[in-house]
Amino acid sequence: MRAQSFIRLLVLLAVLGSIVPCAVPAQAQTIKIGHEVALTGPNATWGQSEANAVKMAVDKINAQGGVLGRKLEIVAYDNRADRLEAVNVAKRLVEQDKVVAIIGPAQSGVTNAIREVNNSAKVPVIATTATNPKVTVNDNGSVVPYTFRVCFIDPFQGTVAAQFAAKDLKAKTAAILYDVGDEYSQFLGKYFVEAFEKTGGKITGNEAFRSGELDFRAQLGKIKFGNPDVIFIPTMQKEAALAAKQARDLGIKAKLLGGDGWGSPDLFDLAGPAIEGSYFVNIAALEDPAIQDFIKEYRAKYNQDPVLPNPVLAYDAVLWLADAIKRAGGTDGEKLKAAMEQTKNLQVLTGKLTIDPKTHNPLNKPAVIQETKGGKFAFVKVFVTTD
Amino acid sequence: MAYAQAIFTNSAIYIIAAMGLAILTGYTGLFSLGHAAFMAIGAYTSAILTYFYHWPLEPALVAGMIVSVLISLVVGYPTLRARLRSDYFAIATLGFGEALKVVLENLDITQGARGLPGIQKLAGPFNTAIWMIVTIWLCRNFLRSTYGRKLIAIGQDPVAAEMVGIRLLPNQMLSLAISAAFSGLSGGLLAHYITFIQPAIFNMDLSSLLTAGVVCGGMGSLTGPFVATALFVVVPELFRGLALWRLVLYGVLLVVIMNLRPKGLFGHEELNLGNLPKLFLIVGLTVGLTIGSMIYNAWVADWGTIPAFLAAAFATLAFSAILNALGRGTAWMLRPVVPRLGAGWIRAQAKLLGDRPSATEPICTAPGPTTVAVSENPLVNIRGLSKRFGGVVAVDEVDLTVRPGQIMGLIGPNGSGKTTLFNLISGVYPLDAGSVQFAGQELGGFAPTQIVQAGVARTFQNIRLFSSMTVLDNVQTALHAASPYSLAAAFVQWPWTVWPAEERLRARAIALLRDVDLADYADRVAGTLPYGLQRKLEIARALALSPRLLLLDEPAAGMNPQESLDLVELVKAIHRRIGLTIILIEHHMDVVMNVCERIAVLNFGKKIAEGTPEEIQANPLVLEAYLGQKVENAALR
Amino acid sequence: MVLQTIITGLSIGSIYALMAVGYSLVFSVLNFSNFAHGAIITLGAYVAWAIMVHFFRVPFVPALVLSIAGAGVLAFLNERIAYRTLRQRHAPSLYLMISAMGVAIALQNILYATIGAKLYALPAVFSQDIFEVGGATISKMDLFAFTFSVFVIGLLHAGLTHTKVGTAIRAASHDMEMVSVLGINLDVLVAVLFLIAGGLGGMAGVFMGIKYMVYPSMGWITNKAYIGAVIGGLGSLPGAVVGGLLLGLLEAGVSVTTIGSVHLSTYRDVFSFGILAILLIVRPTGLFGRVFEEKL
Repeated sequence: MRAQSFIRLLVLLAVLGSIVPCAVPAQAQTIKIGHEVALTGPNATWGQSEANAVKMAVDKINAQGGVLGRKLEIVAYDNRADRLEAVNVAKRLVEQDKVVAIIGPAQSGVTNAIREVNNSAKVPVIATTATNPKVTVNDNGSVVPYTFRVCFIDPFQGTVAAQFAAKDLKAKTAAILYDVGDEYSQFLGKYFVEAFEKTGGKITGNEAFRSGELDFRAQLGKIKFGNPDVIFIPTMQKEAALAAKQARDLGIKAKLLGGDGWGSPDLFDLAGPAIEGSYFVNIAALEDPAIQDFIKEYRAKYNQDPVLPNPVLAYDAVLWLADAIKRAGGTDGEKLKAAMEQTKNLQVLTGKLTIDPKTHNPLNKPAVIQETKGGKFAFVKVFVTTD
Repeated sequence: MAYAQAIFTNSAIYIIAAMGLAILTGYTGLFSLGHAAFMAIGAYTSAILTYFYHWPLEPALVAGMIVSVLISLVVGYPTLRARLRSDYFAIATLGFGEALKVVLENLDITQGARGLPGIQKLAGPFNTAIWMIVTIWLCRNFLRSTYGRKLIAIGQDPVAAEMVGIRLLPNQMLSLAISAAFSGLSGGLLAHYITFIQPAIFNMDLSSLLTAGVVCGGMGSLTGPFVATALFVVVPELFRGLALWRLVLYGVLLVVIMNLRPKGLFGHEELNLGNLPKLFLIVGLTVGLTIGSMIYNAWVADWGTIPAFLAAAFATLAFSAILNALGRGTAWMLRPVVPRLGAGWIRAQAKLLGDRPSATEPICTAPGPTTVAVSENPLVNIRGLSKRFGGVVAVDEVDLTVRPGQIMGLIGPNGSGKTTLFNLISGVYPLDAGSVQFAGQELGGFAPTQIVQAGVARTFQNIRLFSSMTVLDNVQTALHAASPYSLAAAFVQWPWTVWPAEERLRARAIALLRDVDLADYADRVAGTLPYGLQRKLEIARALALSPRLLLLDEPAAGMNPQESLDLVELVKAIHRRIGLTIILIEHHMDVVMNVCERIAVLNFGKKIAEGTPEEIQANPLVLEAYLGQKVENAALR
Repeated sequence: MVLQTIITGLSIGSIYALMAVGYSLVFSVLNFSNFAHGAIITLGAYVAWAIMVHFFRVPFVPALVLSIAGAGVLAFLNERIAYRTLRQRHAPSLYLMISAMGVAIALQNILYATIGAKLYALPAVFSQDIFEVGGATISKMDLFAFTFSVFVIGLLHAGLTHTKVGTAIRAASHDMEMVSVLGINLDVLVAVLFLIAGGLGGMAGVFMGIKYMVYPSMGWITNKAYIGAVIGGLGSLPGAVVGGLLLGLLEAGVSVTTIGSVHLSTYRDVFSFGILAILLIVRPTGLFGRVFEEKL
């Protein structure tokens, strides 16, 4: 019995001991901002760069006194670009960490996945590179109240790609190979087709594969048969690399074209020489004069180049958020949302940010074209669409 | 608080699926590698109904379960037909899981890979808990019914199950259907809790979680998977940083458990007074870990890593010890109370509700001694029976006739084809040539279960009991031939129909056990019995089938002289009491000569002699077949 | 285009066949499904990556040999740790299957947790050389993989029929106990078996790594191999080869078919499963499978 009561006493002490630290008074309240980011997994190269840029932005703002006299604090969790994991992360951010807003996710599908969580909790989300239109606008045209984005949308991107192919690459025929399992790929492909046909071009092949498949040679063989000038591959870098290798293996000589999913440096490791001389649309490029200061700062702090475009957009998102909090005079969800919708001509890295309150999308975002040359990305031009 | 609710609800949801999978893998022994697919079916069906057609939750969940069941039947039929090969089924479930994801990604109504966001949050901790309790209750009832016992028998030994008249395919499909139903329910609740589903959620990781829960919890128990699944959901939440290692842990646990402790946490036991402290310990460990991790997180900044870790470890151990002690105390306190509740009480009520079963009811419905008059018409007429295995001729044009009420012995050196002959008669092997006539009916080409129904029962050379079932259950399973109540009644355990029926089965089983002097062992686990008693149990089980012909394959194998004598007495007693026709394979010559009226001798698949024991003993061909051994040992009668 | 599709189908199919043979070999002797085979294939690819890209710059041929050997050793260890005890205890094949599944899950996720999910490419060994044949193209890599696989499988067949060890293995596939009674050390036999099966797997892993890329969940391609093995008949080596090739051809054919605006390529896995189901109804033992009659 003595041993038992001794143990009981110790346990009591342990329990009391654990309560004590919680009673310590909290310091002056920080403003917590959540960050949904893929720190591991195939999208990690972008994700880690994003996390670095967000930290850079927050440190800078805090050094200048913070927002409304309070410091910003970033709470980042790895969602591995997995939708279910993102939902768990979102719940944690909203319920446990009580963040006032969330930066990210970077993928359209993942942003859709957490929609219910952040909207019912009235916590604004700024997606960094989610380009699918449905992320912020429902099928019936109404806007998703608490989801915003800081990048351009795919109909625009598809048009840029199509017009570039028709005008600059002088392509009369094109084929597409897309991923049915990824709505980004599916819809970007669709927008390209629409825009390309509008320029008078002809689509000779329209092939698809399922997410996770590695072998597209059957589909590419069929595409080869149609003899297109250009093949549009609106996928992430992994599939693009595989497709490029397999296309060249099949003796396909057409030019390859892609979207912002290509922009990870490991594209070259994965594709080797097969991807040489191909082009893709991106949101930002290292050579873009507007962001040179940012790039210098990033290089100095992290000793490597940022993996564009995510870090630039994430940086913009932090600036946008800080500005909105200031104008809202606080962190109340509804007021913050209204302030964000009213953003006009805010100076950010990529130009002046004006938000369309009806779609929560930025107006007048530019697009750049990059080329794969000599194992590196080369800046071709900033593309202006005509229509 | 909301966070704790989330963990609880998630656990409850996965536990529901785990219960279903426990029935399929744990009890029926069918390994499924893609059970997440059935969750997906339930999730999508119910979500589509509530989202697009505004159905209320409960009917939507039930619809999800029904669709899941229907699809499982379609999948189960081709894949379970390859009898006795569970590999085909496992691979098929793997393929099915992938195929289903493809379909879901491409149908318009499921909105493809994008998934369905914005499902109404109709499931919460309260109603999920209710569904979980209902699921556990239904599963428990089912497993205690005749239908459940049939599945357990198949899981224990499919060959023996067939020999007891249990048809494999329909019962395995039933098991699959039940597991699909509960997985579908689980998926439906999941969809309405996380309010967003897409095909990628229902992947191998999810199937692995469920499988690991069932295997580590214990195949053959519901409590085990319940506890293990809950742990697998709760513990990773505490160690979020180690998320990737969670799956490594599942994999390693599967290997470790299979190799070191295949029984898992709870083996074949449900929660009872004996393992109550174990349950408390597990809960204590989990709570301790929670408190420990909270302490660690709170103190690590101020105190440094090592002191904080030590404090956390201490708290964990302390809590576990406390709760273990609490468990022991509770078990000790409940000891006098529990036996009064539970099974004993139910049986008492059953006796009141149904007719009073008679303890002296005759054990078999076979004709009594008066009709044993050896008639001229043979009961068993085998002509020209042959069987080859590749280049080996196991049975070579054997003719054999057995009269009703006769005890025929079948002897011969090892490998002479005796057991093969039995296997041919009982339908385990298809005949290559010849015919087997039983009571005027041609048995060739019948399935084993049909032959059992025709009235042929057998025992096996190397005893095939349902070793994890109790002695009583072994016999009861053989009595189930026509389930006295419906499947629906089994799930609900309707006191008016089910309780008295079970009581009747139990009484008949006890009577059978009494005939072989095993009644005292009724509640012992069959595998723990001494060898001689296991043999008697196998005979009792065979008798439970009310056979007209009993095939005994080396019943005295491995017995000492005393046990052999007991066996002889038993066989004689059975034969006397009910005039059963018996064919007996044996090597113990004292048994053979003592019991059999006629003896047939096989060598290299051919019948070389047949006659009375005296004739056989004197037959030079027989002596030669036994390597010229003088028949001195056989003179021991 | 038909010729091209056939070539593509054979190219994918030869990889399936290679995987299926390793799997079927173990099945034919030990009578259980070694679901860890996919993990061994993955590890073979990673070994190749480690020695060809990450740590050293070993050229192709020695790297291939080392990867095959490495995978064989890993398979041997796998057997030792996860299966040996169960086998000696004559545990039901269900236990072995579960143990195998555990190994598969554990190994794949150890890769995720340590090396990470980053994708890696093995060096393009044959550069981009291609041959044109009758309007269709074959890449040098494909040709090499195909012929080398044929060669190795032929070697395996010769080994099984003409060497003592091979004959012992074939005997064991009929009756394990008898083989041990005849004085052959079962533990050694099974170890050799896994070395061979693992080696085949490692080879498949290297080819896959070169053709596609190296990443932790590569092993799931083996599911197709299992289906191929079942189609060909579990336990039959010619069946594994035929089944794998057939599956590859079927997939290639389906991938180029479009009905209306529906790309059948995205339904590839439905077709694989459908063929499996139909085959099991029509011919439950697969194309060349053996009918198993247990000794009771």
